[in-house]
Amino acid sequence: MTTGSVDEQQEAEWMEALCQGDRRAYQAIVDRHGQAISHYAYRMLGNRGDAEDITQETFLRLWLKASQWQASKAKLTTWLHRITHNLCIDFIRKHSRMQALEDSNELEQEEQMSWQGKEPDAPDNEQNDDERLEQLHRAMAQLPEAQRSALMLCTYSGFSNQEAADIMAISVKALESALARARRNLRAVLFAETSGA
Amino acid sequence: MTKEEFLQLIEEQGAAVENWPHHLRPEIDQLLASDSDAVHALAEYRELDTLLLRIPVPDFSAATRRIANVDLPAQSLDLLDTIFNWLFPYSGSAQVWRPALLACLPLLFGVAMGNYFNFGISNDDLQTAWDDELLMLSLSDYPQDQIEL
Repeated sequence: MTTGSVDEQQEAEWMEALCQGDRRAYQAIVDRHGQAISHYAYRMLGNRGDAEDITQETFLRLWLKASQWQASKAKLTTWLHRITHNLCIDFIRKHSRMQALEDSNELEQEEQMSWQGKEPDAPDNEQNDDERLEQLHRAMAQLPEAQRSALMLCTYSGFSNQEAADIMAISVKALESALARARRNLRAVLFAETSGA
Repeated sequence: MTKEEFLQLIEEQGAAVENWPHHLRPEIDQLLASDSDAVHALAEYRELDTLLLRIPVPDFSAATRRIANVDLPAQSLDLLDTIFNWLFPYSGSAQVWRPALLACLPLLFGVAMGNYFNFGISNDDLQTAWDDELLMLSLSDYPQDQIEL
């Protein structure tokens, strides 16, 4: 039996316990998936506070709607990401804006950003790298939500194209099309001089 | 494989070799050996992937702990959910008798209804029907012209 299937078996047991109102099962699931869900929400919304709200709402729905999860249809992480994805899309459409990623002030306030706090006399190539990272970060914020979601799910969350398509409730072909456009757009921004895009 | 097809592949599947279909690798190797533009594009996409992975995210461990210990509301299931959960628990095949029982319910209901109600069909009606049937059978022994006479 693989580690993955052991984990899945354990998660199925946690979910069964969760349906009976077991708080420890809830905590175990939050411990295992909390960071991944928060990171996905953060990358989608670009704002830490909103990402925390979405994460909390995701796990609240997990608690209330645990009985709707079916192990045979989706892995728990896929199901949780799908809830998060839907909440993020609702949030973005409701607010009709992307907050922090478009807001340079927010970027400056994020203490965790690694390109912040660099010494002024840092080597040139390091500063260039940081500039490119920041440039890429901003370019990602400009991507349409479908392209951004596709890229987040496949690049950061490690989902296969099929799993990412399931999360986004689109066909694999549509997902791959969104992925291709996202990568092409980002390449055009990063390598504008050389790619000819 | 053309350069355009190769670009489409790395845009859809990523620049990591392990994401590419195994059967296409010889063609890809051949293309990369002969087309410097393809090599250049691959290098750019790999750099893009590297940079994407280096974009930092905040640490959410404190928020995760808070969410794990938040006061949760009571899990109130409505009647339909409760019935559905009982019928289709996700504990494998051990409880398969439940949906089987559900599938048998219409049959059991029909048998019970048939035993208790006659639905307008009385024994007298049945007797009349049999008499009619016997009469028709007896008539069939005669040729048609004799019946008309």
